Order: sequence, then structure tokens, then C-alpha cells
Amino acid sequence: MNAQPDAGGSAVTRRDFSGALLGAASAAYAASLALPVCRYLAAGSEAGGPEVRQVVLPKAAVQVAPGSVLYFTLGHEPGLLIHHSDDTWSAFGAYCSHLRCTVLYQPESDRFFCPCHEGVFDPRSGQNLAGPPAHPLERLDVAVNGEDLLISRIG
Amino acid sequence: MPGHVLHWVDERTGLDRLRAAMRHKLVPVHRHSRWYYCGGLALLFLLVQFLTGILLTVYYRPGPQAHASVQRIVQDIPSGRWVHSVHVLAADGMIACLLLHLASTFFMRAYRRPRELTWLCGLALLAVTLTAGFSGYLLPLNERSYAATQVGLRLLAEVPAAGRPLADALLGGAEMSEETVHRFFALHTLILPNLMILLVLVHLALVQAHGLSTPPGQASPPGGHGRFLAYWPDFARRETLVWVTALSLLLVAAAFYTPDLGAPADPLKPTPLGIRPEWYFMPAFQMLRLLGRWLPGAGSEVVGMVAFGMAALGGVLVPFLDGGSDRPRRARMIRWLGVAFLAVATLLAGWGYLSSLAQVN
Ligand code: HEM
Ligand code: FES
Repeated sequence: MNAQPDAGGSAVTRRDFSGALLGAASAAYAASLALPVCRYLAAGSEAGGPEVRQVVLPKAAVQVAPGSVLYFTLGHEPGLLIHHSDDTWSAFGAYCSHLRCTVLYQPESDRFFCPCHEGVFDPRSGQNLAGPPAHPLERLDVAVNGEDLLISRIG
Repeated sequence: MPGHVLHWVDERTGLDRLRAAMRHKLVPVHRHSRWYYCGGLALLFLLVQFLTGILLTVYYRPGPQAHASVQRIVQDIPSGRWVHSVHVLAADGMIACLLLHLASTFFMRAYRRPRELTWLCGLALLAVTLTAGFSGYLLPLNERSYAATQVGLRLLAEVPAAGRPLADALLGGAEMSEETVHRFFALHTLILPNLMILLVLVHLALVQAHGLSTPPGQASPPGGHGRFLAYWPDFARRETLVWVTALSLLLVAAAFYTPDLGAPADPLKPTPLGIRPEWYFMPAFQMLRLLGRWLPGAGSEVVGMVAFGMAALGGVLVPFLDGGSDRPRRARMIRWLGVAFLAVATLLAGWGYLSSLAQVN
């Protein structure tokens, strides 16, 4: 050992250096453990499978009086089919575009209403009309194919 | 004989030092002394949560049977309704005590040097406790808790940086599902309780290390007598009395109170009118509603996030903004900010209940 005591304190000592090295190694060690844990936890998110783009509802099963709605599942999300009082139909994703409560239809005021933070949407266009929602409801396409109603995502 | 045993144990554990510390610990006596019971009461309720929580896990089933299994506990299992009610009421009691404890340490300015870390550790405990309330709320998987969890996870996902991955990890899928209930169950029964034990130990060690602070203006005159109570046995005796009273009130109240279990969650049903969160989330909830009313669309989202962030940051900064005894004006300003915060939160909560009621009528 040719111990040469450090003069002053500005120079990097061997102890500082090995300390930094140890610190960096520990951080790398911890990070290399964090990666598999994160991947493990995220696995559930991919289990959703590919996005469902279309549902087929047999007309016979769709008993929706004018001025009322039917909820159905589109993949993992709820959708809603509305039978307007002038006998036209529209369909939307039923999740409120704000924080994902499920909107309801209020026939007396002819609007979609979200009870959570009182968002309001237009029942024909899905346009956000009032409250916190910053986006319209997701519009779905409704088509008749023989005895079936085809409801599909747009875009 | 027992003396020998005690000595034997002391020699091997150093427990005698803890007992000596308890004997030397002093509790300041002043006009606001009674608030010192709040922290301890929160601890009592926490212990009650551990015991009743363990009992509930015996029959609770996360997953598809979640709602049915709670219904079974409440309706079929002997004493199940009572155990369940105690758990629900003690959760509310614990959070109420925590808020009182926070308010009292705030207004007594107990967070000042050298107790900044005690305050921060306390805030962490509050955050963990609120998360426990949030995660427990989903477990019976009823209509209300389904909507509340959607909203909570969406809000979390909007937090910059860590929010999104955290929300995804909790959700466990593209959409809320039974998978989510499993993850919340693990959070509620394994992760958070262990975190709480750790944080409570640190919190209490810090309180022990610094002793209880005497609020400014209540300090004993030099050489004054009778301004302190020995923790052991004098304060401990009173604290025991307070604990037994609170525990008995809780147990009796639970016998008469049946929490509403609600209808099972159904993703194909709209969120019920009159939906509202637990009382301690009411101010935040009503703030989102009002922002939406006054500032429709994207603006409300940004302002809401900034408001939440500022409240959290404000809490963390309190001990560092209080300038100490040589900056009385700053201290006064912080106190008034605290009063304003409290007033606004109370107002929002009341307003929130009224507007949820108005929806159903
Ligand atoms: C599970 C949660 C908590 C438990 C079990 C707990 C327990 C306690 C206990 C037993 C004491 C000593 C007696 C007393 O003043 O009540 C104490 C002191 C203290 N706590 Fe907490 N506490 C918790 C959360 C909090 C929170 C949310 C805050 C505020 C952010 C906080 C801040 C403090 C401070 C600053 C002191 C020192 C008081 C003084 O020296 O006068 N604690 N805590
Ligand atoms: S979730 Fe619909 S308004 Fe907030």
C-alpha cells in the first residue's frame, strides 16, 4: 500500500469512485428486476385480445320502443342503440367521454345524461353539449342486413 | 419469578429501553391537548380494520362471485352482518380521525422543524389510507363501486408520467373486469396493509424521537410546573379510556347500522342517477361537476388536474413554507390558507350531496 493521503478534498478519492460504482451497479440491478415485474403486471392488459369492430343483433331480439334505448356489448365496452321517436336509429359507445361512466337516455328532455359529473350529449350526433366531457360519444354505424342489425365502429 | 422472566427477556431484546422511553415521554398539557388522541384513535381503527378484514377474507371471493359472496357474509354467515358493518364503519372512523389529526397538527403547527418528516410520513399514511378506501369500495362490485372505479382509474390515468402505467396495472385488461377486482383485492389486503404497518412504525418512531411538540403560544413559562403529563402511566390511562369508549361506540353502532350493499354491477346498465362517492371524495367529485358546469369541455379537465396537484403539493410544502417563529406573517398566511381549504372542502361536500339528491328527485 503506498497510501498517498488525498490533499484537500477536491480530488475524487478511490472511496468516492467505488461508492459511485456501487451505487450505479445497485441501480442497474434494481432496474433489471423492475423490468420483468412491470411486464408481468402489464400482461393482463394484452389479454383483451383484438378490438371488436362489429356486433350483429337479430332484429327479432331488438325490442326497443321509440324513445328508448338498448344496451349491448361491443367487445368489452357497452354500446347503446337508440330508437328515436321519429323512427330513426342511432348507435353510440355508451361510455361517457369524460371519465367513463355509462350514460343514460332521458326521453323527457331527449338527451344523453351522465350522472357522474352531469355531462350532456346530443342523442342524434353524440355531440357533447354540456358539462365536463370534451369529446362526443363514439358514433357507431347502424345498418340493416336482412333479419339482422349490424352495428359497427367507424374509422 | 415474573421479574426474572422480564429480566431474561430484556437482556435479550432491549425492550427495557422502550419501557424506559415510555416512562420518560411527556405529553404537553394545554387548551388543545385533547387533539393528541386523534392519531391514537386512527391507530385503533386501523387495528380494527386488520382484524375484521382478516375475518372478511374467510368468506369473500374476488372475481365473478364478488357481490354474491359479500351478500352471503351479510345475510347467511352468523355475525357476518356485524363484522361487515364494523369494517365499513371503522374505515369511515379511521379517515375521520386522520382528517382531525391532520387538521390539529396543522393548526398547532406541529409540523415545524424538526418534525417535517413526521408530517410527510403522515401525508403518505393519509394517501395510503384513502387508496385503501378506494380499493375496498370496488370489492363488493356493485353499481356504485363499478362507476366509482371507472372514474378513479381514468383520473389516475391522466396524471402525467406514472399515472397511465399505474392505472393499466390496476385495471389488468382493456376494460374493467373481474381481473380488476382481483388486483384491487391484492392491493387492499396485501400491499396497502403492509405499507401501512411500515409507515405507522416510522411515524411513531419519529414521534417518539422528537417527543410531542408544544404549540406556539402554549409553552410553559420558564420553570413552570404541571404543564406536562407523563405518558406512562398518566396519559396511557386516559388514552385507554378513550380507546375503550370509541371501540364500544363503534361495536354498538355497527350492530344497528347496515351498509347498503347495492345492486350487483352490470356493465349493460347506465350509471344510476344520484351516484356519489364516499364522503371523503365528495369535495373532489363536486369540484369536477362544478368545473364542468362553469367551464365545459377540455378546460375543466386541465383546471381540475391542476387543482388536485396544487392541493397535494401544498400539503407537502406546508412544513417548508412555514417560516418558523421569526416569520409570523407567513405562518398566519398558511393558517388562513388552511382555513380557506377547509371551508371550501366542506362547502363542496355539502353542495355535492345536495346535487346528487337533486338528480333522483
Ligand atoms: C394511519 C395514519 C396515522 C396514524 C396511526 C398516526 C398516529 C400518530 C400518533 C399516535 C401520534 C402521537 C399523538 C398524536 O399527536 O395524535 C402522531 C403524531 C403526529 N402525526 Fe400522525 N398518524 C397518522 C397520520 C398522520 C397524518 C395524515 C398527518 C398529517 C399529515 C400526521 C402528522 C403527525 C404529526 C405532525 C405528529 C406530531 C404531533 C406533535 O408532535 O404534536 N399523522 N401520529
Ligand atoms: S364521467 Fe361522465 S361527466 Fe364525468
